[in-house]
Amino acid sequence: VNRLWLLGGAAALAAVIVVAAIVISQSGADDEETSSAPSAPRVERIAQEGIWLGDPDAPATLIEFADLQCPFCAEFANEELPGVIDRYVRDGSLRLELRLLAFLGPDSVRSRDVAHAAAQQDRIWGFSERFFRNQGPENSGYATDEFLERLARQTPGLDVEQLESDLGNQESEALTREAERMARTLEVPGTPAFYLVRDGGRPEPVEIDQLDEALAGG
Amino acid sequence: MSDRRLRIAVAVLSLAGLGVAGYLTWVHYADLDPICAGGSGGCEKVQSSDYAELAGVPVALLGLIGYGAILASLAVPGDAGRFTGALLALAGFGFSAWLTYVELFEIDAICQWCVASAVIMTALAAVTSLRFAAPRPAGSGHRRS
Repeated sequence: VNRLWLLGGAAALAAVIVVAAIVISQSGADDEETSSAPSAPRVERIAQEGIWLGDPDAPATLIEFADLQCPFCAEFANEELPGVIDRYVRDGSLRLELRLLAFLGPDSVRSRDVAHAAAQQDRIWGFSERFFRNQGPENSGYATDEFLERLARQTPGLDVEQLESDLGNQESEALTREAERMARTLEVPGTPAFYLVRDGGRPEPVEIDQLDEALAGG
Repeated sequence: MSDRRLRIAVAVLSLAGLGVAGYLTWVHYADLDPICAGGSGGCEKVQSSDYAELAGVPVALLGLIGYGAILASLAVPGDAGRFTGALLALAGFGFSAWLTYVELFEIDAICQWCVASAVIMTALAAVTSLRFAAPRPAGSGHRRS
């Protein structure tokens, strides 16, 4: 009987340990502010500012036009972007700029608006990374408020209450208008579309599989 | 069941757990996607979620340490070793249960490796508890306390 009591004590102690671990885990998720934020494998470890990822002094900027619902954009984000980050962004030779469009339907609009609110906390890259990993079938109505809030909560450093109050504000609207204006000016044919800017010059269209050559070509 | 058999069961389960947690730890630090039957989507989603780390320490690494500690508890003689093994396995079981809940209801994805680890930890909790609580027959090869 004594052993059973001891075992019960061990179970209670184990429960205390687990609860403490859960509390630590939850509090940690709320105050990730720095580049040491652990959860995303890539973008959280790199400087983010507004819609940009990487060193502000990088000699080149790659502009990506994307729609969060676009499957090819997700394919790029999940499969090729990590390589681009590892090869060029980490060492400061390239900065990424994310210009979100919303032409595929209502889910795109709602998602883009949340992403633009996240940009005001310098977390658009973390949010969109999670969105692309969790992307659902086009216009199936999956991008509900609950879905978007869950992704926001999973994005380290993103204050969800602040995000909600920033939704649709002037800065968000400005990002939306600017992306649309740039897309019109550059005659973006679809998404994803990529443009390379070197030394403050004009954006030049670039095929992502030829980025190595384009950057090497100076 | 004799203490010897229970010790062997704990050792085998701990080694299996070390294998699973070791693989997930390696995948985490190598920035790779875990190999999963039916595609790595679920595993990748779980591994890249906020729940994949606890205060900056990968959960897979915590598992690796936990399984190693349970295995090491076999080397501690008497009730101290049995109690430590049971305590660690019960804590591991509780944590695995919480992680499984998170996979199902927060992340909406299941990682087969995590499920395998949860099953192993559940079995370990049962075996180590039995080893501590149940009387052991004489001649099991270990000192009775």
